[in-house]
Amino acid sequence: MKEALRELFKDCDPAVREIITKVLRLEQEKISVERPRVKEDIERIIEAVTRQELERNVSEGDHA
Amino acid sequence: MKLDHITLQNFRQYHGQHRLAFARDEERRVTIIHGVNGAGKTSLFLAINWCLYGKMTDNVRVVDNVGELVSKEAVAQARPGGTVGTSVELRFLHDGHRFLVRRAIQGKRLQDGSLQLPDSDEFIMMRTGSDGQTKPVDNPIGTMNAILPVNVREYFLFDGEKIDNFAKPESSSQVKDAIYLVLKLEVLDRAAKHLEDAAKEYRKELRQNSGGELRALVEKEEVGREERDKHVARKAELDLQIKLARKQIADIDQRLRDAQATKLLQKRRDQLTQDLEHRRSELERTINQIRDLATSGYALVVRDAVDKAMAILDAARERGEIPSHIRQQFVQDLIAQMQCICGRPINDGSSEHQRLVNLMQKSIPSSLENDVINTTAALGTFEERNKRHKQDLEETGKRRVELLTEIDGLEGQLSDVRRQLKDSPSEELSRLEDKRESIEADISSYTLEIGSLNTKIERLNHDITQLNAQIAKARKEESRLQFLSKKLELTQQSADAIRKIYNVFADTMRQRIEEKTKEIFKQLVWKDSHFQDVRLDQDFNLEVIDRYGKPMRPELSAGERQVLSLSFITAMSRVSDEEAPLVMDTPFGRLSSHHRDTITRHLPQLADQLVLFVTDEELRDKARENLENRIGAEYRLEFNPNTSCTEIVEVR
Repeated sequence: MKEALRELFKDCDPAVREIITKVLRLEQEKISVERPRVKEDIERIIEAVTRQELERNVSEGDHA
Repeated sequence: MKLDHITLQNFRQYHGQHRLAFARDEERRVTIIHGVNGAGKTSLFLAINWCLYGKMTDNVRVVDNVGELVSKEAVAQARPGGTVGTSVELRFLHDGHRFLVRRAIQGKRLQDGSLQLPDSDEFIMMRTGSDGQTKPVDNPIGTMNAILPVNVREYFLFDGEKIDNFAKPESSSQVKDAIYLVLKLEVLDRAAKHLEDAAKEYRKELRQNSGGELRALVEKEEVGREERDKHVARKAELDLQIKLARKQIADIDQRLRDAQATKLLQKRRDQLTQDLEHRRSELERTINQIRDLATSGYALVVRDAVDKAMAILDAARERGEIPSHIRQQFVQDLIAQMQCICGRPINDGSSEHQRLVNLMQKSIPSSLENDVINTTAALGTFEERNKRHKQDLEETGKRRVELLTEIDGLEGQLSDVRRQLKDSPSEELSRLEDKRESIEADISSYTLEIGSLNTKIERLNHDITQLNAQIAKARKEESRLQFLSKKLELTQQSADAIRKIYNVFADTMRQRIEEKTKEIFKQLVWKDSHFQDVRLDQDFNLEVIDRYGKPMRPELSAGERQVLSLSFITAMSRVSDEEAPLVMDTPFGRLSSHHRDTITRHLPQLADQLVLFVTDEELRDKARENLENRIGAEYRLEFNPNTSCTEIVEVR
């Protein structure tokens, strides 16, 4: 099943895949809670991946 | 997850310490724990559940209506006021890590023999990594949810007597919930929803803040800069024109100076021009002087206030208050030491003491006294400064008027010289003067234009400076918005990607479960030719189709329902790749020998690890024979009616 999921997301952008993997892991950890408080954790994941992505774009731009 | 060991300490009828190792070999993966009714099978099954999840995890009730968890024998043996409790320790393997979880609760035995327990128990989770290091897990509930969530556990650790629930006609929602949880559809759904919520917020913030402000400001700054550069270029051009015109005038003046007829007049003009320049520069200096005097003339405005302050200080001086004759510090020291300067002691409340206190009140602090003296000195010079200032202002004003008159006179004289030169009998000389006058007019006009350009350039410079500050601010905001925009893009793409695969994934998994359930059901049910098909439709209704192509779930016997449920659960476990054991409490109680036979034959292949809590009747004859080669560990639970306690006896 995990492999099937990975296969379905394989065409996504790596940054998108990273967000999905981390958010799914977070949701899994809170799955037994009916209304989990994940907003801040998700925000942190998105912020970190976005920052990383922008830095990568800048460094690729510098090399080009 | 593969169970390794369980250790119980005073748990229900298990008084003292009991240890049990689970079979987890590839070949012999079955653990049999058997005992008669009431021997303690359900207690042991409960111990596994309680150890992993407690009585309740995240509002999911795990242990309910089971009475006391602490051994009654242990409570009875404890002295009143003494501590008594229970603990269960479970070791298991998961994802290449070795885990140890321990749950314990300790209470106090009361006088009446009852046990007072705290509201919460103690839960510890340790993990041993591949490096052999054992460390406590920071988020044990989250970690447990990642291994086997509390709401998924009932599909892996289940009560055999309730197993037929899935196959009941009214339980399609239970089937759906099971698929949602075990196959992570719930996780995917929540992730997509929470990411969509985040994207919605980013979009709202972006809409509220972005307006192309930076671009507009940059454009405005560029326009201002272009306009200023144009003015600067024109100014340079005019400066050059003036320089050339001055050169032409100098040439004409020279020619007039050389000509006999105009020699004297030109000399006169040279002199007048020089005088005029001197007067003009003096006038400029005078005007600046007047401006300085005017701005420093505040002393005239505060004159009344100064006079009043001086009168107050004079009156205080006349009363002898300033400077004071006795320093405050001196009086303070006498009071502190309670001794006169002659050495006589001063008693508290005596007339001498009272006098010193009065002196303290009258005296003023030395710092204030210094300030008063300095202020008096400063105010004293005010009058004199005012007089001098007024005199300077009058004299400078007078000089300005004189200079204006002189300039006026000199210009009149120059004009007279000009007229005489124009009236020169020599036509050529007259024309030269005309030309000179025309060039001078041009210079005036250029100078005027330069003045106007300077004003414009100054205004534009000011605007550009302000725009640059605004651009820097907008650029900062723009970079925040760029970040926000990227966040929105990635978040929305993530949510869309999950939504896009969700239906495909759900349907693929549904089909796989349908297929696997059918395969297992056909293996386990003895009337396999009677049942043609097992279907799990789009709405997750589990249906069995008979040889006539008719749905027949309502007609299934209790045993057949149990087999269908077991097929569905094991199918889910296989499809989900969940690394979890199947722990079944009295799974064959309601099954006939036919079903027991087929299930025991196939079940070991359907789970990575199988733990069966069975009665002796459940596992005999053919059923026992079927499992024989797969049993890796076997225990017998022996209940002692004299002590009401159970012993775990290792059979193999």
